[in-house]
Amino acid sequence: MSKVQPGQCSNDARGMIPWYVNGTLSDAEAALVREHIDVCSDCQTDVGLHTRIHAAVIENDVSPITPKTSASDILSGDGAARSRSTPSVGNTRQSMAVAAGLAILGVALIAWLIVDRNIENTNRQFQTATSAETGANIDYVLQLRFDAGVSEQQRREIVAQMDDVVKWTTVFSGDYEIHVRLSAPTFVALEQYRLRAESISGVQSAEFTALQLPMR
Amino acid sequence: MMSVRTGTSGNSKDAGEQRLLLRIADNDRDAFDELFNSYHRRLFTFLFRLTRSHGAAEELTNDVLLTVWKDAGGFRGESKPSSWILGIAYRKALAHLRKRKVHLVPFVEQKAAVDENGARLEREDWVRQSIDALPPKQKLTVMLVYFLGLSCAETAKVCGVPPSTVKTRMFHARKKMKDYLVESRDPEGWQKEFGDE
Repeated sequence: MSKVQPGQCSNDARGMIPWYVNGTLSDAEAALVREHIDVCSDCQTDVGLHTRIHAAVIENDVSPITPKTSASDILSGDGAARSRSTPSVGNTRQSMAVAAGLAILGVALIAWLIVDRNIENTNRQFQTATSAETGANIDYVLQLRFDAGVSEQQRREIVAQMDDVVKWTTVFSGDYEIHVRLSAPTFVALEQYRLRAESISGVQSAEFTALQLPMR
Repeated sequence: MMSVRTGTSGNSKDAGEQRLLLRIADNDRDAFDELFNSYHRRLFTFLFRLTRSHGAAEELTNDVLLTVWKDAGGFRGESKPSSWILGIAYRKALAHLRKRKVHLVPFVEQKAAVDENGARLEREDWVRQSIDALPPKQKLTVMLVYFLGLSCAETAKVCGVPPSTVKTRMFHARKKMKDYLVESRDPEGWQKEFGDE
């Protein structure tokens, strides 16, 4: 097969390169692509670029902590809605009933938080061990929730206070998720950073929800 | 590292999932529980990588699974169950990506990494940022092909378009990413590797 001049490739094999890279072509198709790549510098470049894209997507991207939703949460509507609104209260009797219910819920919530925090700490320790082993930078995702009444402008100002380590932010339903980069993070450094975020006036809570794994 | 591949699933797995969908169509909660266990984490991770938002990914995942519960009776068996479920995820993710607000910090303003892995780290960041910068349909197609490892035919089924459209999307995505990498971000490094055609 003769060499293809740069910029002159119009071979069908070029359109199959993404699937050559992800390994889903049949043996015959893969052989066709391989044969063409040998004589086409444009497609050699394409294979290099697609391989890099594939690696960035599949190997080293953000690994989120899966939420603790269950199948029954979804069917009951809890998982789908995750409403943060407080219940409306009608007459006094209803108010008292709701207050009593909330008190019980509050106690249960505190107990759950204590247990949950221990689980979270375990997660973070595991993650920190991972970063300590590699010594590389790791990106973490910190979810910020705000007190009611904090305006969009104020939210942006709060996020700006953390911008020494922020890579990018995502906004969803008024919450901010800050992707931060910490150099060789330790559990103490992570906790200090989280507490620093939580100590800012207007911030209701700050929790790490994901981490981005280091390069191999 | 986690690798999610649906492209190699066998016929027995498909048959099992088809039976699950039939049972779900009959309001069998145990069947839904089983399907939930095999899809929840995979869908959540896929949607998180698309949206870069834990909250959005959680809501979208739950929404997809709720739609599976409600619409299982509408599954006609013309595609694999996984393609049908991913098709629901594709349409919901597409709607979300079209209306979302994302604030990306310009890379040039970020502090340079100082460790010896820094240069490579930043280069991989650019690849990710170039994916984030793609139009929604191209971004979703790239993620279906590279994150979920779907074949061209499977990707076409999930997206509801002909295979030729999938190839065109991948071609344009590659071109946009290359332009982004070569011209905007790291002229020296990327020019050397993926210079002008």
